[in-house]
Amino acid sequence: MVSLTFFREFTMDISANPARPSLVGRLRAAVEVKPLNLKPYEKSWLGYVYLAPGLLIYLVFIFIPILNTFRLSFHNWTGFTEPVFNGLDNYIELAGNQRFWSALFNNFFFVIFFTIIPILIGLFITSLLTRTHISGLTAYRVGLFIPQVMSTVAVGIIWRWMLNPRFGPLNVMLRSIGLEALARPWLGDFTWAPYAVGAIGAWVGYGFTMVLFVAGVQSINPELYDVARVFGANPWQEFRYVTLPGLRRQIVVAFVIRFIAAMRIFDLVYVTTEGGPGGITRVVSYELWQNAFQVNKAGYAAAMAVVLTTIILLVSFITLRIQARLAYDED
Amino acid sequence: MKNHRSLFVLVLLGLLLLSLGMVSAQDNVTLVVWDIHPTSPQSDVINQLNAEFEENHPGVTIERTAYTFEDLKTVIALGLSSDDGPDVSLVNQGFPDMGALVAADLLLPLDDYAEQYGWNERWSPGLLARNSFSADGKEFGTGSLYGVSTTAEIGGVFYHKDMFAEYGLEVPTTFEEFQTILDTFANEGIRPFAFGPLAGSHSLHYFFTIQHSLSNVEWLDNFIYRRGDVRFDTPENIEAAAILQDWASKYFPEDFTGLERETARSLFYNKEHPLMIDGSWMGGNMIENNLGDEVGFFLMPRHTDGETPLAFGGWSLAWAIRKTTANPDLAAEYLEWQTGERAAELWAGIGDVPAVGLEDRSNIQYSIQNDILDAWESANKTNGVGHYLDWASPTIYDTMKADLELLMAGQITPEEFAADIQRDYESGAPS
Repeated sequence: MVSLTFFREFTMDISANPARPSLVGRLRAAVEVKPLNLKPYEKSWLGYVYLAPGLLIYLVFIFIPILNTFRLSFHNWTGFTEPVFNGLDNYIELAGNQRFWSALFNNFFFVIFFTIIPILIGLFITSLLTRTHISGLTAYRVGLFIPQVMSTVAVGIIWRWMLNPRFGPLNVMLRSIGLEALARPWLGDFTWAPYAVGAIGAWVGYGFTMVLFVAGVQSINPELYDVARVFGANPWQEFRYVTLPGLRRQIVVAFVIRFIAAMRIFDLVYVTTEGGPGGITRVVSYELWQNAFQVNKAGYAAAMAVVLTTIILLVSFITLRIQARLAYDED
Repeated sequence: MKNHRSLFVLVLLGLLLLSLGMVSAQDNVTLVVWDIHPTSPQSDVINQLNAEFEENHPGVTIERTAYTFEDLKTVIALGLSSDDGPDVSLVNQGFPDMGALVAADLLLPLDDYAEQYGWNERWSPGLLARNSFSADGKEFGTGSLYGVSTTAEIGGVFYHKDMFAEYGLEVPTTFEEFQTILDTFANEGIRPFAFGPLAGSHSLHYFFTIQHSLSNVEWLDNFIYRRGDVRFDTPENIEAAAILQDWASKYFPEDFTGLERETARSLFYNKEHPLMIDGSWMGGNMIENNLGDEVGFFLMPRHTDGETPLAFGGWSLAWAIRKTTANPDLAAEYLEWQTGERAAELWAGIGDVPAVGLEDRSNIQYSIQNDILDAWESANKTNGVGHYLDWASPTIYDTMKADLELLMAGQITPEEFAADIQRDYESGAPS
């Protein structure tokens, strides 16, 4: 039913009557009219029944703990004894804690590696995989995606081994081709440790962006590529004017999800550097874990969690608003 | 109809089985035990001891969970406050761990059992103090006993005997002689120490070793138990930091910042470096790597001639009892078993040092075991067992680890290092 309406609207759109609302607007209207022919009360209770199991799990394991964290952030709580209300004390302490701010700065530094670089690599691989016909494409895709599905702890341990200054393949390779001067104690080096951890993050992240973009490309009208080629577009122009605009939504999704990943890194840092050397790879989640479980300042740690969550929500919200605005402008 | 009948019979049978299970469950007691030995050979020792305990106590089943040290720290408070949590668990010492658990009223005071089993005579007051707290958890090293420990831990220097022989070196008796050994190797182009401070406590153990060689038991006790107006930024501690900084540039591997402790150990096993500071707990690993007779162990000598060594260490995590356990007497018996003579025999068998000592050394096969046992027994006798300095405040481990990295990289001075640890120490006072 929907598709019929769509095609009618679409064919009308071809006549390009300027007085009519845009295709997308009409498409939305067409979709919204009659999604399911259910009576209102049926719709509501049946929907909730379907939702119930997932909703219950969400409530018990996600939503209530979030509320509880928020509540605890206004308390002095060791994790052992009864929480004592202390108003905004935790937040005031947090605001004046230099270690927290430098950890937060590190998180934003890691956005480059956990978010931006995977998106760039993802786009690059996507353009390679879509432009040329490669036999065994699925095998490549699976191979490139594997880092994404591996446990981060395992990834951390593998890379710790890869970057080991004596036995690690990276330094061994550098030495064997005469680049001994470039060999470093990567994860313990005051200059290189943040980049080393970041590089691991990028390695983990690009599989996800790639799969997202490859799927996105398939929804781009192939005629656009044909047209581009007919007009003699080179690969860069084709990417710039067809692929990139077509993937805008996927890029936004990738940004939000990878941004969240950059903000919550814990295991990778815990396994590779423990925040070292000299605290230069400390991140907020690491501080949070330390305060909650090592130092027994669970209320203070809850305040950190609230601040981190707020930042994540804020950035996600702004990104999605920008995306919505762009989409609207285009319509 | 036939189907219904067979279903009925099945249900009846099921109920019968269930009730049987319940009857036997009433006779059985399950003792839930948490420890930190998930890997072999330590895990095998615990399993062996548990099996023998069950044999000697018909009807008792031990339900064991082995966590890693870090994992146990994370779950212990929750476990001990739950009714089906561990009846017995290993607990880390110090204010943030045992102190916090005592303050939250989660641990059973063991004074009566200490009387019953003679624990006060078995171990020196200096050791028992490490497992003691006031009832509010605010005073450490005094008050009631909350746990007993199985093995002793002492930090010292492992060395390759043949490399010492090659350069005509002997076990040093003063710090100066030790420094000469380091220079001998350094002059031959050998970085003497295997050292891996990346992710882990190796740098702290190196610092403790140097610090103890300059320090004294009174200062260490006061610092750990927070008695009197003790400060960290003493001339001795600043000197210790300066020595470590000096070692970093001359005696540590050039790429040490990126080396893990495990890597350092394998470099030591492979004789890339002749020396390694580590703990008595490594005895078993030396044997496993076929170095039981090739490697020796000694305590870091003092700066002053004639003074007996003072080494960082203490004893292993404490076996403690959940306050609300239904079977406190059985749990105490389990503690006695885990720390008694049979346990000592098994732990010594894997190269560890039983805290009760080992009178009968007839089963000892390797010289490294004798070296370590000698070191422990002499230190214990001469009041030469020091402390892990990171027990002093909940944040000091992390602060010291980061500061030592900065110190060794020359980014802060020994004075700045000492001042920062002092700051941490002050802010970490239990409220």
